[in-house]
Amino acid sequence: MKTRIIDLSELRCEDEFPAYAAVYSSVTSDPFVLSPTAMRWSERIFLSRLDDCNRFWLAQKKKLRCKLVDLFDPLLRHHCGKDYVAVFADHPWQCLLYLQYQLRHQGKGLYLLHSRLDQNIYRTLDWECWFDAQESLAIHLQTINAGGFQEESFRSRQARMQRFIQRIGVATPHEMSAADANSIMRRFGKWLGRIWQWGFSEASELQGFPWIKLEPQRLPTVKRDLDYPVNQWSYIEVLLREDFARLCDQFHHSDCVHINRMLWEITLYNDHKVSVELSFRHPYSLHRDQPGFATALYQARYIYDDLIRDLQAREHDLDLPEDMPFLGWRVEVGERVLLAPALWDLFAAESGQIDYQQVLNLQNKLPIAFECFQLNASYYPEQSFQRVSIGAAQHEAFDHYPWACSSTGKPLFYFEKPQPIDNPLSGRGRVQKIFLERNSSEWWLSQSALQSIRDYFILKDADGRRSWAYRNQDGDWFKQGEYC
Amino acid sequence: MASLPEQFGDQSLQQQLQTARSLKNGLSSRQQVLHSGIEALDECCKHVRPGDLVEWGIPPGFNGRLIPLQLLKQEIPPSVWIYHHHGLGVFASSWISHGVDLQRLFFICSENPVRELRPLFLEDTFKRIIIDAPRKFSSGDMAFVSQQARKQGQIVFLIRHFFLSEKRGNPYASLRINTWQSGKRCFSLQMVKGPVSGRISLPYAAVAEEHGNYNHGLLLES
Repeated sequence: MKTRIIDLSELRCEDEFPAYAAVYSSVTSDPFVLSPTAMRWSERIFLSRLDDCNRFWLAQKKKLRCKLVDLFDPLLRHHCGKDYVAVFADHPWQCLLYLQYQLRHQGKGLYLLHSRLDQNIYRTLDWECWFDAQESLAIHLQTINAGGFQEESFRSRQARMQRFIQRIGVATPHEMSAADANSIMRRFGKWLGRIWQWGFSEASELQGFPWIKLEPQRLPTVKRDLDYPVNQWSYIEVLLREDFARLCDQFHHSDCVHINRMLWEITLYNDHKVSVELSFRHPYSLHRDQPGFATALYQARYIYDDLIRDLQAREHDLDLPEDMPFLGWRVEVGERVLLAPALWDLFAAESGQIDYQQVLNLQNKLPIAFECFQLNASYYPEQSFQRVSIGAAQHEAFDHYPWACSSTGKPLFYFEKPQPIDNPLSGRGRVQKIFLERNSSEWWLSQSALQSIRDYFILKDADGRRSWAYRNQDGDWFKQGEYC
Repeated sequence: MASLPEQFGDQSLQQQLQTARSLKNGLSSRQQVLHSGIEALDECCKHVRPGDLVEWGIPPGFNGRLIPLQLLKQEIPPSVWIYHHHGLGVFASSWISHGVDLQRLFFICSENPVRELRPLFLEDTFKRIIIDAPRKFSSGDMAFVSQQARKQGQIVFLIRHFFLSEKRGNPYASLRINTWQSGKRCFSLQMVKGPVSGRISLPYAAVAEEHGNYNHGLLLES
């Protein structure tokens, strides 16, 4: 008999992605491990706003075909030590509250408040845990001198609320969760009302939570003043390579650092400064690309070519040389992410024969993005597939066969915007019209609920050229593809 | 009399000849690289080796791209299709319906591939490169691409949007083929350069699996 294992840690819809995380680390750790937006809550606890980079993490999750726990656990283990405790939820207060509970019960590892198991435990949190967590909040509000917060008044309102709870005999906050935050606010003051709201909110808004954004450390910068002006790429390339090596030194050759953007501020011969950006479609490891730094230099080369073209096309400053030399520049890392090498290597070695990391590295060197696609469960041509990122796993949730074979008679290339054409029957030329199918829009999914019907045909002209066209319900004709 | 150096002795020459013969035998028995599962097409492509450039003549509107597509269906290594058709994008579900694994075939749109995508030709990330109707592709570009393909063991398909002719040759291409759909029932291949010559017909059903649509399509009006 087959045993079905129900994973209680991730029982809810996989599309839901937590907006915040609270991480307890027993060792000194970088608070920007999960997101560039972070807050230091206490010496050992930091908060991360995942909402700012959820697309990145969702893409990683899809590529690795793993659960959120498997995605974040190696990362946090690497950066925060094996004794870390992390809670992922929709609001920072929920993260902190549940983190406090787990710390009290010597919990370890990663907890997702989206999961049925943790949600059930969260609902059983008692008043003691509820009020204890407010201690650190009170200290925090006092420290930042939050507007309208007075510790004495807050304590007296807390005591009043405790008396009220004893009187009505409610065992846990969840039993009272139906209570409106405004009425709590009226009765017990602004801050207790807010805490109440934060505790049960499903929205990712802060709702007055005292979030103090941690300023990131100054990112590495290198400056170069040239002894003589240069304008040939062959010279610039050599000097830039040296500068990238200097940037690597500033990162202490850390294998975790991956760069998203670099700023290149160029000082031209007329002392005019031009700022351009070297951006990478996928986080780029400068460290792993040394000593050649081919990827960064390709991106710099594209920018150099565009810049020189723009400078040559200018109509003013005609006294200046046509190929404007550079007097110097400054290269600054604009944005970076920290990825545990374990995660990165797992990503690289994924999926047997195809080394997606190699494709991603190549992608970073090109000025144009690769296009990757996967099938969708839809008969409507425009919705029958979607563009995905490189290496994204295919949905296995549906049987591909019926959807795939519906497109056999269709062309390999199509017009994303169908082109209006004259009725092929009204023209003089001999045009064969071969009926393919009648198709209907997914009107039940759209708000307007208006059904649009298309009759698809292959049109074959006198020379034997085939095109793919449809007639809509109003009798208008559109060409949607070519049988190339 | 000075004696002949050892390597020019009869015995040595005989050995060299034998080695050369065995090398040739080894070459001919090497496994075929391009597979389509269609016997006639596989026969045309049986001599294509990594490093070769195959030129296809496929004017738009004749559905001829389904033929090179057959060679990208079975267990292909990572491959890239560089296309440039005015205003046309990839209709991915049709590719999937023809059995192409889009986890292995990547697309990129470029009108001047050698200039715009130079790093792609300098690395061996993709073992099959299909350059589909590039707007700009000089003979210098051709020399560069074929040299890189030889160096890195890649197979390059260069698809032209016109029929190829014997009058104007291409020394870089080991195989030159025109393909088009002729009528409703078959595809035609005309070998311009290659091991076999002449015209080959392939049944439509062998190229595009029938699912009751096209071949049973109703000819309504003309």
